Amino acid sequence: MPAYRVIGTSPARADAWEKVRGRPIYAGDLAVAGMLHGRIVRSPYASARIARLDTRAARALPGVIAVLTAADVPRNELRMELPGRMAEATAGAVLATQPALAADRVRFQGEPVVAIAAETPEIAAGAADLVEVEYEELPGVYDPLAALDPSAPRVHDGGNVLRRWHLRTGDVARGFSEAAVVVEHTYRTPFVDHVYLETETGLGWIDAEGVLVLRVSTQVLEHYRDVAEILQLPHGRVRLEGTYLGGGFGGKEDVTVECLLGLLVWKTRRPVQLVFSREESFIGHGKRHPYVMRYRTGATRDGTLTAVEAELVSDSGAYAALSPWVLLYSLVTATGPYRVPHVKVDATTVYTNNPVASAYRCFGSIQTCLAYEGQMDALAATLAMDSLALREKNFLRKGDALATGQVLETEPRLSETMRRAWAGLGEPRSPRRPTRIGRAVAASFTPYGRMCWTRDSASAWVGMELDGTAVVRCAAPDVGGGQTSSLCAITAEVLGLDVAQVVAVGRDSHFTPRAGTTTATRQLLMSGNAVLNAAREVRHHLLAAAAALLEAAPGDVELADGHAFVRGAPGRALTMASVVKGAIAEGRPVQALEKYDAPSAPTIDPLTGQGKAFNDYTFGTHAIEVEVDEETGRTRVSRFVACFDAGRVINRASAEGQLEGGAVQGLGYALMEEIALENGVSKNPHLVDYRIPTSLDVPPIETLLLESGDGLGPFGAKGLGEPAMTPSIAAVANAVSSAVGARVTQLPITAERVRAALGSPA
Amino acid sequence: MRLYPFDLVEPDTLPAALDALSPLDGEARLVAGGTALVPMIRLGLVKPDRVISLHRLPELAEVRRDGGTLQLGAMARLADIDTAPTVREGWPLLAEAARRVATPAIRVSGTIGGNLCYAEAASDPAPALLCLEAEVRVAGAAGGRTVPVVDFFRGFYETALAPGEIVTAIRVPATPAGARSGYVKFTSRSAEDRPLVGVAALVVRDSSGRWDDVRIGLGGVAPTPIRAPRAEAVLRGEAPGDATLRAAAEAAAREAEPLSDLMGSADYRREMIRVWVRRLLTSLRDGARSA
Repeated sequence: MPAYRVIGTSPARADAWEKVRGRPIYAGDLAVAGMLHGRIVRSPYASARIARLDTRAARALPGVIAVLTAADVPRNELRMELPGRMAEATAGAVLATQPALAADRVRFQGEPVVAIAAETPEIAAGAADLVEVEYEELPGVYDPLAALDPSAPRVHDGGNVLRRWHLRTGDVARGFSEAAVVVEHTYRTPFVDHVYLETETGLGWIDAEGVLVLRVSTQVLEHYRDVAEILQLPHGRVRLEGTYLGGGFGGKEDVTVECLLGLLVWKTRRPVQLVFSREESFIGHGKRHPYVMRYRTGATRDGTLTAVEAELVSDSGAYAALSPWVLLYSLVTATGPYRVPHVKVDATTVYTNNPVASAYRCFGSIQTCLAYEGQMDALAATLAMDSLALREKNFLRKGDALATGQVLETEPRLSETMRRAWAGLGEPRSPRRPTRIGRAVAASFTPYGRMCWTRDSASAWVGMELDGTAVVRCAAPDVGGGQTSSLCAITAEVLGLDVAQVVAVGRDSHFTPRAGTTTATRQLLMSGNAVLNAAREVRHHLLAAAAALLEAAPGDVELADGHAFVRGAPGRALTMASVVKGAIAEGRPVQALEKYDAPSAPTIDPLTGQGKAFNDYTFGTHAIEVEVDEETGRTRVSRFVACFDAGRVINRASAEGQLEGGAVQGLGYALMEEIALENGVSKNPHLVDYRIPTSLDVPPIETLLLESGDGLGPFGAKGLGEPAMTPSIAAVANAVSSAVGARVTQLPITAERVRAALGSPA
Repeated sequence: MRLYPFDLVEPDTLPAALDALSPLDGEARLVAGGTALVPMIRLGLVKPDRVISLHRLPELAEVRRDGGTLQLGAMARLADIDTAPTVREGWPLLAEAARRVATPAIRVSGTIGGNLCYAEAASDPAPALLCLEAEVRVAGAAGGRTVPVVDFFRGFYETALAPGEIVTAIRVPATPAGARSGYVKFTSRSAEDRPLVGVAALVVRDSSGRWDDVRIGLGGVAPTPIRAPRAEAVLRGEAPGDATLRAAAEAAAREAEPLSDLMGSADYRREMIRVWVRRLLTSLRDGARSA
């Protein structure tokens, strides 16, 4: 491994002190003079017709400036499209649209109906109470399997099937005929919420040039286009200013406050702040999709997989959002990181009148992990085989093909991640009644970077200041994962600077080079490489300038510790400031705008799933020990080891933080989180009854990072953000299954469910 | 965090607080630590026109031993009760229960009076106070009165307080000499959740090893916190053998009236009463906990 000075260390992140000191760095921290306060009136019904809507009383309330309805929206249609050539892959699918404000029909609880701006939050709340909406409830459909019935109520005119994908390789009938054993289980997962600390928030105003500026907590600065389309403005007339986010996890990937806020600012011509309450956040933004996954897996007597047949149905809720693409991730990952010669997977995402489901960390590849890893443990039990050995026999290796036909060009190191994670659990402990102990692993693979056919690209600018420090400009939102600091670390490494000598200024749709979304575990790959390319270009110019000043060949000059020096002669050195001044005096550029284009490939075949869907994957394993109280069914996770091939670690503390965060978020999903719905209406849109893990629920998490250098990111890095969570729920389910001696196939794994699985008291 | 607007009144004396609470147009609510009222206002469950804060009445915050009894002002914070040496030494059951409420952030704000005044079925301190046979001191325009805790809880979120009355203090009699006591809180979701089942118990052995005084308080298993008299009757005067403890746990499960909610079903609650009553009593018998 090459020697790095900055890469792989843990320099304090630029935002860390600001955050712990409570400095105003978030979107909701800023106020401007004369600002109005927004408020959204939402549907209390999951399926209803708006029979009458009267805003006169609300408008008459003193201090109310605007009460807007669908009729006030210039183009009341938010389109869900990913950039790139998606058309051929979506042939036959409905164009997914959603109104900014519901016009005559509401399809889920929480759907925005009226947007209000008033002088104070209290007046806005009072006006919301005065809006008269008469709803006529309509039959709804609340179960994705029921929604597939042709006689089910239709959520949209085109029917309830939003999208189907298929994966075919080999001959699945032959595969099962070759199997000595076949295990079959159905796995179920619930709606869950991201529960970021910071709810959806933004502040907007119109600047001196008449540009609508929105300072928003978002993962996607490109939503300025959606706002412009809704308002029918030229795209250049709307600008999004990014802030540090108090968490995103995919929940701020779709439009949240942007369009409603833009509408209120544009109509009132006044600054407006819009902050969603926690309850609003719970019913207002997209959730993780519930899945029903029926799996059949066949293997020979020695444990060689012969066939996987799976049927996946996901609940998209009332609108499409990103459901087709989430489902595609499920399709590609459906068979897990294993060689399976014969595969048949049918995947369907369905409209219901449940909350809208969309992006959430792992994006469809976590539900399938619960199923494919559950199947591996079930198979091991049936074959009376060690479950680690069974996995090892079937793990993908370099040169093997995924079920999509994509051949792996680098070694996934699955076995190493699994063995090290397992060893991290330590010596087995002997349980004492009523405690049972269960241990298990779950291995996983998760794409990082967008689908190949989107032709993903990111740009960045790096430039030197006269004092020898550097500036990075790159519109990559920092969701809390340390994205900004990693870009600084890459620049510092290349230019021989200390991290503190590099600053990344702003994340802005129009002031900083476009870098794309902080989603899909793509920012280190995309913006990281763009910054790397720009920094290398600047380095080239600095070396040339320093060589001239030092009277040496450029190849003999080294940059380190804020100096340029001749290799082997540290006495012949210049400060970076002198080099920069020298370069400018010679007319050399000391800045560069560069881009990075991800490798592209044609779209996969929608009927067989064959093709190259993603450029690369991150592989890793969770090993978990649980203690299950056999009388209460209560599960306590006692040990948690995470081992991933990070490719290359950029900021060690940030990378370990991703692994820890993924583990904790997974524990919540596995054991306690669920949006409880009754006919589409949430019974727990608050933290009183939607519990997430607290410090007392989380064991010490051991994080192990391998560095193969095989990734496509800077210095061989892979992405960790989403992969860090993928195996968690499967590992918990497998560990509990091992403790209770019965397959646990439904999340959340509540104490009551485990108690039932244990049978009558002994 | 934003709330619906209301008038905030901050009286300096108890009579002034009672005046503020006296009938007016609309609804008045008392606030102590705010850990119950504020979320209820946020969720729109109550919309008071007037909120009367008791924070300027320091005499309501005392934690003091008075002879054999413990005097707790209604405004005594749960953290004050948990950490006071007086309580830990003389009333360990109460200290233990107070320590199990929610999180440290809640305990430094929430008060014992506020906890009781919502008749919250899943209260942690209530089962302990039921076992300790505490009394609630109430002030009203017409004077004061004393209500045993067991009579204070009337129904689902309903107490014996009449309109215009304020809880001023809780008086806890001495823990019986030689008593062993303990509180167990079982949460079905995250660790700092409300209890699915909370069990407090206090037992006193006679010289022959029989339990001549047995008190069991239960939280989360009925519309209000309750005593479990039938379970107590099974044990009183008996030697606490395994079968007897099991029978007592069964009696407690039968006399409870559990509800189903998002924490767990009624059937599961009943089963958890069996488990936790038996476990707590067993640990008291075996000496794992003592006063």
